Amino acid sequence: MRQGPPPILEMRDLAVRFSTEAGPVYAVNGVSLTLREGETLALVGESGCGKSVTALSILRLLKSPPALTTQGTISYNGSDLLALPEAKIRSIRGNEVSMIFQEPMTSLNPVLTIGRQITEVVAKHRPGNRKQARDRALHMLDMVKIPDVVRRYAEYPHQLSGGMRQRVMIAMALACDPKLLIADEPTTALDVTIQAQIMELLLRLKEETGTAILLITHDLGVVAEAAQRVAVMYAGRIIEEAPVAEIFADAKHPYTRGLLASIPRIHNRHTGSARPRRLPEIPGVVPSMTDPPIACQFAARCPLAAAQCRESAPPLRPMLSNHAVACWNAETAA
Amino acid sequence: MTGHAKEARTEGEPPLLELTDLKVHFQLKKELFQTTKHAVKAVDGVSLSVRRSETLSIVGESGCGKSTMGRAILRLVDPTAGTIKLDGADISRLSGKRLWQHRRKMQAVFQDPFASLSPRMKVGAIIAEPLVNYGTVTGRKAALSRAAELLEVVGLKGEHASKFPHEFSGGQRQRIGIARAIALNPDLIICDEAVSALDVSVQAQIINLLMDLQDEFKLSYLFIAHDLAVVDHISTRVAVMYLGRIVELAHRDTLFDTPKHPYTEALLAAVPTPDPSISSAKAVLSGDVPSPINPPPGCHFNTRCPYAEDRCRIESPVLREIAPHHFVSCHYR
Repeated sequence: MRQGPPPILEMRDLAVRFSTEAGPVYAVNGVSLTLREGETLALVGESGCGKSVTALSILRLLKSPPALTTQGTISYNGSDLLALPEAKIRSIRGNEVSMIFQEPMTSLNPVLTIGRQITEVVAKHRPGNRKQARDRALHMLDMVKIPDVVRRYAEYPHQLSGGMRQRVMIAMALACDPKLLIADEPTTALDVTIQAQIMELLLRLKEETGTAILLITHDLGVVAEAAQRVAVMYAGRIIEEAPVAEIFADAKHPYTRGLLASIPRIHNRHTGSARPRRLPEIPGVVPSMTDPPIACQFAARCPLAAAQCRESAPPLRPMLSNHAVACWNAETAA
Repeated sequence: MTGHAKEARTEGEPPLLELTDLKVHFQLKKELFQTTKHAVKAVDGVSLSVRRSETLSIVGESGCGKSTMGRAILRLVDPTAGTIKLDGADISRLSGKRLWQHRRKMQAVFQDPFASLSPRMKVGAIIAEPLVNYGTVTGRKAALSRAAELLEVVGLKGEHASKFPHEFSGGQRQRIGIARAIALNPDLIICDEAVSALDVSVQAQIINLLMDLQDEFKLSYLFIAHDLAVVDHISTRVAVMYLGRIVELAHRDTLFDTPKHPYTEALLAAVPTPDPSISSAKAVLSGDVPSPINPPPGCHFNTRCPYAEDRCRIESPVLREIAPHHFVSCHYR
């Protein structure tokens, strides 16, 4: 059995459906996840796999309608987040559990100074007067290494660069010492040198504060550098979950293997050869999510697909003590 | 044949595309009480050449001018100074009919396959349009049947010609854009972040397709990208841009194995490695890219360079050949 710190968030069998003009879209189909205190779990997958919807469900940030959570529980601190009254979830949001998003410009209020926005979060959730909240905000800006904090405090989001705005978002998200930080593609919109700065900052703050992080990303390089455990999603399901070293060294699911093989890597070529090696590709396209999934969703693209794969969906089952795979042929794949 | 042998063979030939001191400046509106007009120097004196059948990649972060340079070559924006020679002809001041005649030799594939295909045209008509426009086939019917052939070349089916772009996935749309780009048998294709919007599994398909088409049709690519791993995979040579200037230009292997410019070093170090067994201890570059309206005097990189000295803050370094075919713009390398 898996040991380690106690779980702080347990998602069981979550399913989310969107009603659209073209009919229902089954975005998340039975996702279970456990996050332990202080750990970083990466949720990876390609566009449309349901990773962001899963993340947004935790703090109930999906607009309903069109979104409808059809089944599942998300237990946090002994209560089911999906069943809590709105007032209660608001006291958790931004406080015990906070979130940062891909595009900091759209998540910050353009007409309020950044200082005021951080102060507001602190004043809402923490005891103390306005002055203390302001001091806390200044402290947080300092912590995320914003230079010249007193001047920056009074500036508006448009006066900051993209990297600085993401620092402000992180300062705001961590202002109330959250137990869990959900980071949805936090560096995707940033240039590579700025991405390196932000990832370094996130990892340092995690060390200092002990916050658990649910990192949603499509970038396997970021995963390798930041996560302890990885859950791979495909078409609304988790298809493999394992410690980060095992995912990269010994992936069992044919999709995970295909994904890892298809990333171009620096220095992964025959130096001096006339032509670069062809990249291994995963043939075909991601299935449409408008039909309820019955079979294995990857079967149409899978090199190992057999009759069983087209009839029923494989459950996520443990193969080793801490490595789970949803594949009927995982043993033969290994 | 090795890459170097191929290079040696093509070196004698005149390059397909040759930029000499290309500048693209955008004038900003004069503000009240402002005495001088400011300009964004998006491309600020770039000289380079693209040889036949090679892929020259241009890498750099947002705002470095790489896309503006691509647009200037396509003559979608007017160059402020300098020349653009395509197949020996200076096209930098041409317009109208004369430009139209040269333009068929170069095509473009853009980043967003959703924005670059007209949603109201069927795929067959989209691909047939350049064929009809340049009269390379006679009659609508012949154009459409050629379009169906081109769809097969890029890995789609001929019958897809009668569908609309919205019926395709992102990767399939990028294939349609590529089919349109190769329709006129161009010599040069400018790929502006052509695979950046795609998921990795689909990205691999499109990278492979681009490489196959290059072999089959002897295409040259000017490959504008920010993803260094993709660039490492696809390029013959690589140019690194920073604030409108080229800071390093070399053969792909040279640039990735022995980068010389501090900015190139920092860029390569910043790329996260998809391998947890490699320790990620790295020197993170501090600060942001300065504004291209008021770039720092001297070397544009001096505000972020860990090795900057007084000279770098005063004097602009020139791009010089420090080893055969390896160009670096730094006082101290």
